Amino acid sequence: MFSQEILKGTIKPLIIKLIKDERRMYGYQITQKVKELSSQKIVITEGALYPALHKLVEEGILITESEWIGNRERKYYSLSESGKETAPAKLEEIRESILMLVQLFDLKPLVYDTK
Amino acid sequence: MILNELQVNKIKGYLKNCNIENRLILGDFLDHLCCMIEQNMTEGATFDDSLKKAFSHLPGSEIKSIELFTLKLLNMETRFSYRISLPATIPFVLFGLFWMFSNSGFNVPGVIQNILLLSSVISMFALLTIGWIKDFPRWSFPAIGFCLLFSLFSMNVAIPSISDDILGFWAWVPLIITLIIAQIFKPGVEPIKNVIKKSREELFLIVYALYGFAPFILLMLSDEIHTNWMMPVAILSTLILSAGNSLFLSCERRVSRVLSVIISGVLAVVITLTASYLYWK
Repeated sequence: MFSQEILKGTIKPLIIKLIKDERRMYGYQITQKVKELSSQKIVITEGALYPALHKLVEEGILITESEWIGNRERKYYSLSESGKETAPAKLEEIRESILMLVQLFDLKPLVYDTK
Repeated sequence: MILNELQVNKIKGYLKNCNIENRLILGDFLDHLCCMIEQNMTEGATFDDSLKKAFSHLPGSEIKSIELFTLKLLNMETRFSYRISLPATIPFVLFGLFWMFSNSGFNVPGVIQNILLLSSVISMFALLTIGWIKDFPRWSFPAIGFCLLFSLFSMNVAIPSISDDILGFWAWVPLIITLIIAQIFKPGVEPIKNVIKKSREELFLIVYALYGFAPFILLMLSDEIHTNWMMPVAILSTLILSAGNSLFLSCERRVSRVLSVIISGVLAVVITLTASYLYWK
């Protein structure tokens, strides 16, 4: 499992990417999806996830809608209209920074997808 | 597998016992814990075992830390250090000093009294400006209440050295100037939206905003009283109001915050009214 220090700067873009692909997700679902896609190598803690989600809502990138699931309310997060416009730029930024890191750390480029 | 009402209420009770006060965070973690437990139960565990496992994965102290961190990130902090909560009482102290000198029997020069009164009023308006720039954190709410009510009150006040007529709408000039200065540093109406958002989240903040006008109310309750023993009354009432303000900003629990403001406000008013009654009797 990778340390939280490494993941810190990527949590918001990761959330945006997942929600962009799935259209709408709830908190627990996001943690499970990340675990599944990374074969348990990346675990987003609740302490990282929920502050990031609330911050993205405050920034206007995500919107929420609530639904009653049994006896409790579940909050689903989805991209706002402005979020849909800015998401590609944010994801491109993280992609470019990862490619730069690949170069800086002298990693084999074959492992990482290129255009 | 969906948890029933009893099971959900048990988890809600756990979160409330952990002192999770914010409605958003409570909702987040209620659903999150329920999902964890449901997943465990789907894999064959009992509710009680799943509950224990969930609580050990997410102890109350950790959820509380996440709540405090998230609220700080969103500029919705409910608790401040003494380094911040004590300076927020400065206008109260200045006002208390003015009150003490103006109503005591001691012959304090008018210039000093005027300086103290002006300092307390200006410090409240300064607090309003700083609050605007910082999106109105809680400690600036008394400044909002004071500035609005002081302007409203002053509409019916005349300043004999300037004119015999009441100020009328001129009373709003200091507030307008304050808002213009605030707009220079932070343009837009985002701070006002934040005040509305925070007040919706915790309605008692409206009462706390009115608390900022409390020193002025005490002064009016002891109007025309000039006696030496008003000095300890003024000192005591000011200390009580300042302590109430400081405690509201530093207490961990909502109940404690609400009680600190109500008790200090009521106590200060009772002390002042009693002194006033004894004087006029």
